[in-house]
Amino acid sequence: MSFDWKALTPHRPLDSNGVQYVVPPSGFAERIAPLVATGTTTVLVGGPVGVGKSTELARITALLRDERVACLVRLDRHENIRRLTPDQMFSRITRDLVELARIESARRGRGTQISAALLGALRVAGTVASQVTGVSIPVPEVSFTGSPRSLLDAALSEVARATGYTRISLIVDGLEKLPDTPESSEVLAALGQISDEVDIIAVVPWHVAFGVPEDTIRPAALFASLPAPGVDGTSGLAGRQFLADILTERLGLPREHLSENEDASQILGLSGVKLGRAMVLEAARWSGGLPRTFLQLMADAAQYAQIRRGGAWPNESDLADAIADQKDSFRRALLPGDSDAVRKVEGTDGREMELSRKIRLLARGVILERRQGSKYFLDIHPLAQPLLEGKRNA
Amino acid sequence: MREPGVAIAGAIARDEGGLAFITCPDLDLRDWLVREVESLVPSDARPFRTSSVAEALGEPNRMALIIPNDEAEVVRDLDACRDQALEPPRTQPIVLFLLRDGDGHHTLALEAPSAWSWAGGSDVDPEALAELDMDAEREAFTAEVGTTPEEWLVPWRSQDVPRTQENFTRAFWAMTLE
Repeated sequence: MSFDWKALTPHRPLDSNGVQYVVPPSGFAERIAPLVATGTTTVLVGGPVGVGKSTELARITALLRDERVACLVRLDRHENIRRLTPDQMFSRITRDLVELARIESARRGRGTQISAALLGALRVAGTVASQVTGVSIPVPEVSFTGSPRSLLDAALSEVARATGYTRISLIVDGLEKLPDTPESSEVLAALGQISDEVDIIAVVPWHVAFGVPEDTIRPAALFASLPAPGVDGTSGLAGRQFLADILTERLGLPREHLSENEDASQILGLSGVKLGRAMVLEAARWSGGLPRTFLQLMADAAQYAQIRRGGAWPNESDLADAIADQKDSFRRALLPGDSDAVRKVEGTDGREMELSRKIRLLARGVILERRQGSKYFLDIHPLAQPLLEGKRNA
Repeated sequence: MREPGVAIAGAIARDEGGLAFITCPDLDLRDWLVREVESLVPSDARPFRTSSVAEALGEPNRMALIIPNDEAEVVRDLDACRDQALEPPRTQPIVLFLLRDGDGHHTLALEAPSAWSWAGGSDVDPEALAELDMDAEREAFTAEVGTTPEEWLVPWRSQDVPRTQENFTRAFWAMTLE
């Protein structure tokens, strides 16, 4: 049996169509979407790189879509976030919103419901191209000129009216890449100035989480951190299975392939499943619960297997080399003073760690925020742990 | 153990359209490493050199070899533009050459978690090559391939060996040992 390991694509978040989605143990999207549906207008999402923020945002979009206009705006697919201005952000949101409205209109068979006047104004402003979803946009005889913000407001109003929904949710991805600069604060403040009638669910940088988010974006904004599931010991069973399920989904296998049911291998007639499951769970443990790291470990191990044995299921030696690659990467993320600082806060809520160091290490997942009951504590990533102990090859 | 040749080839080939860092001890060796990578990649990768992230992203179907004039700026731009590699999906990787302990690595550690994560594991330092136990490695090569590295490279260089992923990897390994 051959496997399409290229399909793992560790760096590609899932789309909002729900294909391949696996609910994480935290049930993040399933928890946030109802909050928005019942009146929480601003949710700021944080979390380490590779924890699945973009995938959860896509899921939230899908969950909200039945009862409102839910527009997923992936700013970082199109803009250099480092140089993003408020006007660029408004224009991108407007463009995606109009595009979504037109696709939805076409899907429902009601034809185009965005006015020619708005489309013409957006074309004059350069917000939309000469064609939107394959339909030519004429240059109006008398052009309306407005600021990107005013055009966004016009688009929000028109889309709400045209679609018949009373509520619009903007789900904004990519802003976590904003640097900690005054210009970035302007972008975040501009986001918060969008009408209160519009919900905003946005990924934000860690420095916002440790600042005063309600001052940065909107009053009473909810900050929600997407946690990496625990993957150690008995309490980590659900986290390990979550990652195994992601793997089977991406490989296009039935979930039974790597389920806890050992008889599944016999049922499915798949050889080597038991060994494969043990290796997958070991990769899950080394990933610290970060889906991207897990998929990267599995993809790398599979590549080593491909090079050495022509496509066999990766073995322990392949995984060991994949882990070594990742450890090298973590080693380069550590700066002088990190080892002592990290060891000091392990198991605590981390309040004693210098803020800039904490933000840097949390963003990279070198330290992970875990939750046990109502208590939050910091855990060291398994790939970083041996480096802090000074055992590079551990 | 990880063979350095496998690690370098793996870093470039592991993630279709991904990002790989090759760490260079100095500028002279950086030029040498760029030429080595150019000579080893499959021709359909159509590698090209640039110092610009925007140019690299503008060619999703060619392997971009970024040789930065300003390492820190390039790393910051890669951090801010990572997801542009998803739309349209890249079919060829971006390979960034950085000086060991230089501004680029410093910026990666300090400011650029997205770029760091994007490349996670595709981060090869030729220092490992310098630390090779040449005798043991040559012995391992001969045991696995059946010829010495020099003997194996003769048909490779005359284009008589198929350009498969496995053979590219083997060529990289042999060249580090000849």
